[in-house]
Order: sequence, then C-alpha cells, then structure tokens
Amino acid sequence: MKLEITEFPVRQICLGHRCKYEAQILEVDQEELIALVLEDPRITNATLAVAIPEEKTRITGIRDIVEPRHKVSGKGQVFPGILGPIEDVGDGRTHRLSGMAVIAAAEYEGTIRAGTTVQRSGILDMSGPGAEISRFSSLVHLVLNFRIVPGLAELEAHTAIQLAEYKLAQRLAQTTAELSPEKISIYDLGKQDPDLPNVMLLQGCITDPQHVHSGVGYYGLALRDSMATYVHPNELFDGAVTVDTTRSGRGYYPTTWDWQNHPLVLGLYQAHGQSLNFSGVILQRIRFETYHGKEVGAQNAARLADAMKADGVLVTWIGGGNAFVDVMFTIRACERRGIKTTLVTYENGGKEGKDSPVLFYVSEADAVVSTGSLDRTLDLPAMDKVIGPYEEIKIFPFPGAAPVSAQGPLSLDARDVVMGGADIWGQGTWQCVEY
Amino acid sequence: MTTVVHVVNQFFAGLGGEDKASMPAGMIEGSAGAARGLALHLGEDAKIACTIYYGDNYFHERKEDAMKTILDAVRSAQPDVLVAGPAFNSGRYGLSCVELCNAVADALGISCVTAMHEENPGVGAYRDFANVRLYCLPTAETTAGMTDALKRLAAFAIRLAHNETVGPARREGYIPRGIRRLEKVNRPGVERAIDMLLKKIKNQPFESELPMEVWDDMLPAPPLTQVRDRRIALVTTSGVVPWGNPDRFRTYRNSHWQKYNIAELKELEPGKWETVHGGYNVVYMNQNPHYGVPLDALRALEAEGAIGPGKLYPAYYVIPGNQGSPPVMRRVGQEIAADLKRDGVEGVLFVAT
Repeated sequence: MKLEITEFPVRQICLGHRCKYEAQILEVDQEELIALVLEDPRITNATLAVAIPEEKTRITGIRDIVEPRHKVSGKGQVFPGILGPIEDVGDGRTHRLSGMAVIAAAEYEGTIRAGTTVQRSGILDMSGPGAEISRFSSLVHLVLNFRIVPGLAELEAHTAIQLAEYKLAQRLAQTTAELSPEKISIYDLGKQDPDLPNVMLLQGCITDPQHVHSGVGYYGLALRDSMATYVHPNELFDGAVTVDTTRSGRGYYPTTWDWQNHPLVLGLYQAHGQSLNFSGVILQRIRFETYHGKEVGAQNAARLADAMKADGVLVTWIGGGNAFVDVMFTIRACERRGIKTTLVTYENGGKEGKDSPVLFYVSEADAVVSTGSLDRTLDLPAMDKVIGPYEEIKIFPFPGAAPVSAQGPLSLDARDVVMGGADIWGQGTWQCVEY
Repeated sequence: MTTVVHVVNQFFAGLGGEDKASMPAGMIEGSAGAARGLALHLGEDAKIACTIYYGDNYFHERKEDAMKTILDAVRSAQPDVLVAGPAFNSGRYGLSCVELCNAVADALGISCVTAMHEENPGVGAYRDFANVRLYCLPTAETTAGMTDALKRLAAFAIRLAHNETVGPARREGYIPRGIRRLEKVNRPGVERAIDMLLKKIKNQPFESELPMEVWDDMLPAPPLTQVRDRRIALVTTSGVVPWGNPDRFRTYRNSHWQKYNIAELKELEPGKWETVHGGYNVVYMNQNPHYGVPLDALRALEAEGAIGPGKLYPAYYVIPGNQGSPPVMRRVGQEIAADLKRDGVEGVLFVAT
C-alpha cells in the first residue's frame, strides 16, 4: 500500500462567489457551500466565517475540526463508510489543504444530562494564552456555524454534524483536483529492514459500547466490544478512523483532524527505514467495565503486537479515568511478552501540579513521555469577536453549571473546554517537569 | 551580606549524643558544631547569624514547644535563608529538619534547604509537603558525606538567599518534591518518545519523564460478626444526587462530599435524583438510582429483620468518584470516616462505580 499525499498550503481563505484554490489562497462560494450543508433537512440554518491566527477571536460550540482532503486516485474516497462506500483506503493519491481546517460549530443541547455520553463542545481562542496551548490556533479556519433541528437524539445529531463538515471539507479539497501540488509526501511501509527494530503504535481508544456511537468509528462503524485490530497507518490519512462529533468537543479528545494528522504515526513514518521499521497501528478498545475485560483486552493487544513481530510499541490513548487502567495493563502485558513500551500521555496532577499526575500505575511502565497537563488553571482574556452558536457558554460540564459570557474573560480551572487544550499525542513541546 | 540561620540536632551542635536526645531547643549566637563547616563553605559574603539546636526526641515529643522556640529564634534573626541538617540516614533528625523547614517557609516566607539520604523518612514528608520554598538535597548515607553535603548546602543556600530562579529537580540536583510544572521544552513529545523507545529496545539508559508512584495498600476493616444490631450507613462514589445537582458537584475531579437525607424515603423515585458523574454512561442510573444508592434493597433487608429497626443511618454519603485525585480522595475518605464515627456508625455499604 502506497499513498502519496500532496500538499496545497492555504494561508488565506476568502468568502466569495466561487470555489477556487490559487497561490495559497482559497476562495469559497458561500452560497454553494451553504446549499450543500442545507441539503440535510436536519440542518436548519448555516453560516460561514473565517478565523485567522493571532486575531482576538474566540470560536464557540466546536464539535469537530477536519482537514479538507480529496482522493484523486486509489480505491474509495476520503471518509469511507461515511461519504461513500466502504472500500479499502490508504492507496493512491490524496490531496490535502494544509494549514487550514474546517471547524464544525453547532448548537446542540442533547438528551443526556451527564456521564460519558453527554454532549460536549469546546472553544478555541485564536490569540492569547488559549491559543498558545492549542495546536489548532495556528491554522486558518473556515468555521461552519450551524443549527440543527431541536430535540434530535445523539446519533442523529452526530451524523448531521459529521456529514455537514465532511462534505464541506471534501468540496474544498476538490478545488485542487486538477492542480499540481507544492509538495508530495510518500507513505509506504515497504520492506522491513531486518537490522532495525520493528515498532508499532498501540493506540488505546476509550469506547462506550452501550452508547449509540461508541466514540471511535472505523470506516464509519463504531468500535464496540472489539478486541485489538490492526490498521495500516495510511488508512488514518484517508479518514478511516473518525470521532463522535457530539462528544469530541473537549480538550483531551482527538478531533478528526488529529486522526488525519496523527503525530505519532507521522513521527514513526519519518523514522521508518532510518532507525526503525514502522510495523503499523493497533487500535485497541480500552475502558472495559470490568477487571476481567481490562485484562483480556490488554493481553489480546499484546498478543497481536507479538504476532506482528513488534520489538517495541509506542503506547498512547484517548480518554480519562479508568480507561488508564486498561492502558497500564496493556503495558504490563507487552513487557511480560518482551515487547518494550514507551507510553505517551497527558497528565492530570491538579491545579498546582501537586496531585498524582496519573490515576494508576504499574511498575513495568518505566518509560513515559509527558505531554503536559489537562489540569492547570488558565485565564483567558476577553476577545473582540465571537464566532459560533453560543454567546454564553458553560465552562463546567455539569448539570446546573452557570453560563458565562463567551466574549468576556474566562477563568478556567482545567483545560477540558479548550480544543487542543491537552497535547494528547505529543505533537507539541509541552511537558510536565518535576520541581 | 547574606544572613543564614543553621538548624541542627544536639549531636551536630556538639552538645551530646543519644543521652542528650531530650534536650530542649535552644540557640547559640553565630556558628557552632557542624555549622562551623557550613560557614567555611558559605564564603565571606555570608554569615551565620545563629545556630538553633534541639534534642532529636525533644523535637518529636514536644513538637509545639520546639517549633515555637525555633520560629521565634528564626524570626528574630531575620535570615535570608535557613539551612537544616544534613541529616544523612538519621530518621528522627531528617523528619524534624523537613518539618521545621516547612513551618519556617510557611510561617515566615523564608526559603529553606535541608539535606539527607534519599531513603530517610524525612524525604516522604518532604514530598507530602511539596512546599515551593523548601528544597532537600540528597546526601550519602553516613557522615562520611559531610564535606560534600555542606558544600552543596552552602552553594544552594546562597542561591536561595539571592532569590535566584531554581530550575527542575533533575537539573538542579535537589530531590523532586512532586511539584510538576507545565513547560515548553525544546523537542516535541513524538521525538522524545521514539528516542526513549529506541534506547529501551537497545538496552541503553533512558530517563522516564514521569516516575511511577508507590501507593499504600488498603487493609479492609474486619467484617462485622453480626449486622442486625449494628448501625449501617451507605457511602457511594456513584454520583447519585438530588435532581438539579444542588451542591454543584462536577462530573470529574471533585473535592467535596455531601450527605443527603433518606430517613423518610422507602425508595428513590426516578426523576427526583440524577447522576453527576463523567466516568460512565449514566442513562441507566438515572432511570433507576438504586443502582448507585440501593435504598430499595436496604429497606427490604430492614423488613426482613436483617438490618435492625432504626439501624439504617438516615442519610447517604456521596462524592462522584470520576478522576478523583488520590490525595484528595484520601482526605475525603478520612472526613467521611470521621463523620461516620462521630455518629456511631459501625458498618458501611460502599457502592463504587
């Protein structure tokens, strides 16, 4: 499987009357795009706005962030199983509009009041301390600000939001279909060098199997009580793994953009053939409800890595709370099989960094990379402009939380509400350092 | 001129060995005993205003008196920095150094530095205090490391006296306090991770960025011999609270607990209670709050006579447990246990989620 990803950098987006990419400027036809979104009767109203780095803008109601991509050759299309038939992706050529993203900002109250399946939306500041912590603030954004029919249940709301953002993003990338790119990157696992160690990425995924969308989609199918699954990294680049858009609006969950640009996948590809053989990705369901489930899941993932002849695995995860027990059990299971592990994780640790940084330990987890903390307080200044459905936002996700002005200063006691508030997969240079 | 106060035990003050361990705290002008060695390393721009001493046992047996004497002496000397020890592997001494430094740092805002062997019990207290004004340097196990320890204590004390910024523990050579600061470093996490893994695969040395903690084992209380005549209470981390969440629990990382009256209730009616918890799917618990607070089962046990009449505690205790920080949850547990004890509760049905 060989995928060429061609890059069309975007440094400016203009709201205009045609869809066209030229000289790093993306012009978008507002009428056409709004009509495309409104094809879905569940969407009642939509507008477009542009947000650029360093301006004093706060975006609210963020459900997901996606990079525009379009397949020009190879089987299938981007987001297989969602935008089209389920065909193997990861081969051929895919165009990407780099340096920009589409933000889905939608009002949605949800029918569930709390718990793992409650709807969440995030905010993003394009300047100031909120921008400094987020990997998304350096991108130029086309914000799709829309409303959906009130009272929709969670799965309906999710599919409405997801289809709208993905269709829009793909349409934007199609503007480059006939153009030649500035840069081509080739992703091919090719032959393994027997002198180099085999390294895999073991990606733990918190899933909620009772919920209508478990949280992680594979070719549009929600992963439920599955055992560990092998995935070719190129599949991620073409959108084979997706999120539940009613729940991914939080600082420590990946967006679609993160799956498309998984930093550990890109890092392992870069090292591939140089210092290691990148031997693929394992998607592992974590947060089994029982000790039994956690042990079976952990040992199964280690067994798969062993069967793939991995000498080492980078272990990372999505989630919080007891899902981390599954992660630690997995590390132990791998080490006991002789597979070396390094864990990449964000930390908690409380407002001052004095509480326990993580919630569970095993002694085998002796190699950990810290990507920063979700817990430290953050004071965001007032912004000049708010884009998005909410003029008032709830910065605490619990029943009865008082809403505050979205434009005014915000005093956050954790970074959950900021999109990219935690650098979950180590793309950036954040780290918790011990004093 | 930098002013330093040095605190040592009776032995290092040159006042006697174990036979003098009950000696009350006191103060000597200038340097004395081991402090003389410290003065040597401090150089000409610093002076030791006084040496405070105490008997090892006295400190722990008469802590209030000892602390008062020490704080008064430090207050009147007005030093720029306080040095305690080095205590090497002496447990009583190490612990007292850490405790008095913590008190001086908190009460007087003076930076303190002490030193001891990393396995000294004082190090545990040092990590528990996690006081930003208190540093502990590692030493050898025995006084064989005296010169080296004094040299490093002196250098560190001068830096503290000059209000110099002190960097991370590993770089600066003090024992980590468990204070983790969020910083930008010069390499992305991805690069650091691949590097670390490759070193580990090649059996080369590497440094984890997050040390594993060792936790206490919990020893459960012995079971009740019979339940009928015992006062029983219900404690839960399920997050079931009255509808509307009147006490504003968060769905994660809570720090307070509540108890809610159930004295007059036979059961929990759906719609009057809700679950505030970010760690599981709460739909089913909202439909039937008895999954978290099994009052229906407890009332049935009462009717059968398994729980004596009036023996069920009239309220249940709750904190949503999701992502609870261990030290916070330890404190909450202690508070709830104290409240239960006060009201004569002898057994608890604990419903975890």
